[in-house]
Amino acid sequence: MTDLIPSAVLPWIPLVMVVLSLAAAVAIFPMGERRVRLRSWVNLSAAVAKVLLVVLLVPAVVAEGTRPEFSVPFLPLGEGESIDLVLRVDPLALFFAGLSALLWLLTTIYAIGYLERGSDRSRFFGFFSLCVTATVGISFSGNLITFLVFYEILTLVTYPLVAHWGDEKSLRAARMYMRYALSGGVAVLIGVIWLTMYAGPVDFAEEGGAEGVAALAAESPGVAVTIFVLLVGGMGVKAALVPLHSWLPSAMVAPAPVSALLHAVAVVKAGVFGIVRVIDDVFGIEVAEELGVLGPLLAVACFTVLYGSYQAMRQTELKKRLAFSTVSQVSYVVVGVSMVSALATAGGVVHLVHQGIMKITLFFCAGLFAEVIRAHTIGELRGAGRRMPWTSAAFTVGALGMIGLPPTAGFVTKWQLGLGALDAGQGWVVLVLLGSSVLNAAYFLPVVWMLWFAEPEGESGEAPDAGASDEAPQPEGEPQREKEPGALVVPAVITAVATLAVGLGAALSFAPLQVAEAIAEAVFR
Amino acid sequence: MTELLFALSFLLPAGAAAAIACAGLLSPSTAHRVRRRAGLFAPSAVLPAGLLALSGEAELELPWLMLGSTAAVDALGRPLLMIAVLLYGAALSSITWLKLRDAERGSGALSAWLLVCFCGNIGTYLAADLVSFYLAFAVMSFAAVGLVIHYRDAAARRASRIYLFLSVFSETLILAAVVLLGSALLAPSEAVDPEFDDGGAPDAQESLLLEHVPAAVMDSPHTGLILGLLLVGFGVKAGTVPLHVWLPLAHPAAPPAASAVLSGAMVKAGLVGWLRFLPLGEDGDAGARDAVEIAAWALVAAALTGAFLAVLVGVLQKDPKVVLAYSTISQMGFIAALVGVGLLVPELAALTAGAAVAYAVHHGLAKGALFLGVPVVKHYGHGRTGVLVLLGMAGAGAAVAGAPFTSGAFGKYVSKEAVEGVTVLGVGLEDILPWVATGSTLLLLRFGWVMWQAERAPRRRADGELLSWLAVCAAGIAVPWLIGAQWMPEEELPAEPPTWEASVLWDAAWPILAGLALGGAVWALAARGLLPDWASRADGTVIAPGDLIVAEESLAVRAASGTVRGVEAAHRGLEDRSRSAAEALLSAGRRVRSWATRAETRLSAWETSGLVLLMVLAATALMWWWG
Repeated sequence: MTDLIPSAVLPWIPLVMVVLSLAAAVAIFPMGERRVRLRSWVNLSAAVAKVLLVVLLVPAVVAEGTRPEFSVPFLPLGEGESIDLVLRVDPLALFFAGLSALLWLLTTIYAIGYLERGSDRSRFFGFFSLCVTATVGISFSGNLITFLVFYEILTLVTYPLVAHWGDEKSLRAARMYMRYALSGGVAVLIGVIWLTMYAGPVDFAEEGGAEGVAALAAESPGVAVTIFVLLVGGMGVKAALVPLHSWLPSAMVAPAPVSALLHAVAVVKAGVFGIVRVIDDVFGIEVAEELGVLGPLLAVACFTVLYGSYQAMRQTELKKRLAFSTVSQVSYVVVGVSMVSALATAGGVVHLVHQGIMKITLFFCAGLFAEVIRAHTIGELRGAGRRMPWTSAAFTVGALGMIGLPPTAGFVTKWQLGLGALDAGQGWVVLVLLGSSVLNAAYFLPVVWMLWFAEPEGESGEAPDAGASDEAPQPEGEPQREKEPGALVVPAVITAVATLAVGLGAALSFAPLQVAEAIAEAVFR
Repeated sequence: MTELLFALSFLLPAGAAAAIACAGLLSPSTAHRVRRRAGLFAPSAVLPAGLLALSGEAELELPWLMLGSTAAVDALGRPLLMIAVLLYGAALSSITWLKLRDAERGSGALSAWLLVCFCGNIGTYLAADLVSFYLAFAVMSFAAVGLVIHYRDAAARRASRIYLFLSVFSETLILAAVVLLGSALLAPSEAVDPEFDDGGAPDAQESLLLEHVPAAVMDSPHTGLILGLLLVGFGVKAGTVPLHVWLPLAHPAAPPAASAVLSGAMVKAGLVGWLRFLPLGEDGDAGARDAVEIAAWALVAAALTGAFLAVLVGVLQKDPKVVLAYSTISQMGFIAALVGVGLLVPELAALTAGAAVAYAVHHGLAKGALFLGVPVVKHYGHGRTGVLVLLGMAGAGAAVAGAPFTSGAFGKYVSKEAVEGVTVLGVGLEDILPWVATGSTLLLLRFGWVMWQAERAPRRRADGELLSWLAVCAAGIAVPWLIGAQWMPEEELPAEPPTWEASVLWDAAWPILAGLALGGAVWALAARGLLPDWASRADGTVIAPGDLIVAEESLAVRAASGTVRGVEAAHRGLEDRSRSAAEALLSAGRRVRSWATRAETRLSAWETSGLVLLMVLAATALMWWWG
C-alpha cells in the first residue's frame, strides 16, 4: 500500500488535510448565498478528499508503524531553539481524524439537505469547515502547544454555529458555551505554560508519556498534580464532565447538523481526546497512576456517567435527552482511560469512535423528526415508526447501541470496559456500567416504544393494527408515510448500519476495536 | 456444505423478515403482494436449520464475526434445534398458509417477528461461545416483544411492558455474568503470554468458548455471585417462580402461534442457558462447592414451588391460554428441578441434563400442539373434523400429563431415573415429581373444560392452521422417541430404556388417575353446589393472571414514584442551594462593585484628589525626614 504514497509525501499529508478544510472555508465565505451547487461541490469534494487521505494513511501508520510528521517553528526560545507547531500522525491521531473525516462528510450531506431553504448558509458552511479544520488540527497535534492552538480555534469557530439561528435562546446558549469554553481554555493555557516552563516543549509520546514530565512528577509531585488538574479540568469543560457540563444541554438549540457534529466528533470529543492525550501521552499512564490522579478522575467520570443518564431520564425534549445522554456516554472514554489496564484503555479509546457514530445517528434522526413531523418532545413521536420508517429504524439501532445490546458498537465498548474494569481490579466500575445500561434502557426504550408501539395521536386504542398490515388499501385514519428527505435520511441510515457493522466486525483487522487495542498496547509497552 | 447450511439457517429467515419489513417502503398494493409472497415462503425459511439438525453434529468458526464467534450443533443443541424448526415452521404456516379472507390482519408482521425470534432462538442453541450466545439471547428476548404486542390492545401493551421490563432485568444480570466470565476466561492466557494481544483474535476465540464456562464458574473467586446472576437471569426466561409473572400475561395476549413458540421453544432458551453455563458435574474447592450447593437448593426449592403452586393458580383461570401458561410454569418447574439436582450432585449431572433435554423436547411439541390447537378447536372443533380435533387435543394433553405410551411418559421416566436417591425434606424427589403429573392432569382438565365451553366459529376448509397443528401432533408422537433413541448420547440416558412392564405403566398411570379422581371429585362437588363461591367462580378474578405481578406492579409503581419523588426533592434542594450560593456570590460581586464605584467617585472629586495629593506629599516628606 505504501507504494501509493511515496514516503517523501507522507509528512505533508497531515498539513494537506488541515489546509484542505481551511481552503474550503476560505472559498465558501465569500460565496453568494445562492451559489448552492458550487458551495455543496466545494464542501463535498473537500470532505471526500479527506476521507480518501485518511484511508491512504491507515496501512502506513497502523500496520507499518511510520509516523509522518510536519513541523514549523512557532515560539522562539532563543539560542536557535523554538517551540514548534507539530503535526504528527500516530494511530490515535489517525483514529480520531478518521472519525472526524467520515462524519464530516456525512454531516455535510445532512447539513446541505437540512439548510436547503435556510439563510446565512455561506457563513454557516464556512464556520462549519473551520470547525473541522480545528478538529483535524487537534487530532494531528504532535505536542501540547499545537493542541492548545487548535483547541482555542475550535472554541471560537463553534460560537457562530451554536448561535446560527440568531434568536435570543441561541445567543444565550452560545454565550454560555463561550464562557464555559474560554474559562476551560484558560485553565488549559495555564497548565500548558506551567508545564512547558518545567519540562520544556512537551511532545506527545505514544509509549509511556514524555520524559520531562516524568522527571517533574518525580521531583515535585505537587506541581505535577496541579498541572494535571488544570489540563484535565480545562479539557473536562469541553468533555462535559459533571459539574462542568451545563453548556452542552443548552447548546442543543443549535441546528441539528451542528448538534450532531458537536456531540459526536467536534467539541465534546476534542475535550475527551485531549484527556486521553494528557493521560496516555503526556503524563503516561504509569506516572499518572503514581501521582494518584486517576482514582479521583475515575470517580468523577463514573459519577458523570450515572448523573448524565439520570438527567437524561428527566428530559421530555428529545434533543435535551440526547444531550444529557452524551454527557453520560462521553465519560465512558474517560472511565476507560483512567483505569490502569490495556483492556480498559482500548475500551475507552474505541468508544471515541463508537459513541461518535451512535450519537450522530441519534441526532440526525432527532433533526429529521423535528423537520418532517415537527416532533420535538418524546410524546410527539407517537406512532412515528409508520410515518418515518427509515428514520425510526435508524434511531432504534442507535438507541439499542447506546443501551449496549449486541451486536451494536455499544456492546463492544461495554464488554471491553467491563473486562478492563475487572482486569484493573476495579470491579465496582462494572456495577456503574450495568447501572448505566439500565438507565439507558429506561430512557431510550420508551422512545423506541413511542415510535413503534404507541398509538398515534388521536387514534383510539381499539383498532388493532400491526406495523405491516396485510390489507392492501390504506384504511382511514392510518397515518400516511411522510417523505423522508434523502439528504437527511441517507447519512442517518449509513451511520446506523455502521453502528451494527463495527459491532459485528469487531474482530476484523482495522476495525475500530483492533486499532484501539493496538493504541492501548503501545500505551502499556 | 455445513457452512452453507449454517449460513442459510440464519440468512433465509432474516432475509424473509427483512423482505416483509422493507415491503412497507413500496406502494401499498405492491407491499401487500410482497408481504403475501414472503409470508407464503416464510415456513420454508426454517428448513435449512432442520437439515442442519438432521445432518448431525458440526462446528463452524467465524473469527471475523463479533469478537470471534463459533457455532456448533452438539448433543445438547441438536434435539432442541429440531423442535424449534418444527414449532416455528408450524407456527408460521398456521398464520400464513391460509385463505386471504381467513388470514388475520398483520399476519405479515407477525411472521416477520417470528422469523427474527427464530434466528435468535436457534442462535441460543447453536452458539458455542460466550458473546454469540449473549447476542442470540438478546435478539430473541427483544424480538419477542413484537409477538406479545401484536394485537396492540390494552392487555397486550401491559404484557409487553412487563415482559420488556423483566427482559431488561434479565439481560442486565446475564451481561454481568458474561463480563465476569469473559474476564475469567481471558485472564489466564494473558498472564502466560503478555504479547497475547498480537494474535488476539484466534486465542480469544478459543478461550471464550462456552465449553470452558462451567469450569470458569467454579474457579472464579465470585462463584456464588455468578451462580446467582445466572439462575435469576435465565430464570426469567425459563419461567421460574417468582420470575414467571410475564408468562400468564404474555401468552393470552399474544396470538396462539406466537404462544406456541413462546412456550414450546423460547422458554427453553433459559434452560439451555443453565445447561451451558452452570457448573454441572464440575469439581471445585470447598468454598465454590458450598456456593453451588446453596444455589442448587435455591433452584430446587423455587422449581418445586413453581411446579405445584402454578397448578393451584392455574385451575382458577378461565382463559384457556392462561391455563396453559400456568401449565408451562409448572412443567418448567419440573425441568428446573432436574437442573437443580444436576447442580447438587455432580455424578447425576449428565443424566439430569439428558433428562431435561428429553423433557424439553417432549414438552415443546406437546405444549405447542395445545397452543396451536386453541384456534383449531374454534374453527374445526365441531362436525366431522371435531373427532379428529378431540383426539389430537386429548393426545397432546395426555402427553403433557405423561400418560403411558406418550412422549410424556418417556420424559417422565428418564427424569425419574435421573433423580433417584435425592431427597428433599426427607422425601425422595422421585416420589415428589410424579405429583407434578397429577397437577398437570388437573390443569389440563380445566383447560379441556374451558375449551369445551368455548364458542365455535363457522367451520373452514382444511388449511395451514389445521395441517400445521396436525403435523405438530404427529411429530409429538414420533419425534421425542426418535431423538431419545437416536440423538441422545448414552451417558445422558438411564441405563435401561423404558419397558412396557406393568410396574412402569403403573408408575406413569397413577398420578394421572389421581388427578382424574381429584378432578372428578371437584366436578361432583361443583354439580351439587358444594364448592365455596370463589372456587366455583374460577374466572381468573380470585387470583388474577400473573398472580404476583399484581402485587409486584403496585409495589414497583409505588417504590418507583417514591424514589422519583425523593430524588427529585434532593435534586430541587441541591438546585436551590446552588442557586442561592450563586446569588450570594453575585450579590457579593455587586457589593464590591458598588463599593468600588463609590470609592472611585470619591477619589475623582476635586477635594479628595487634593487631599490625597497632600497626603502623598506629606508621606514622602516624612520618609525623607526620617532618612
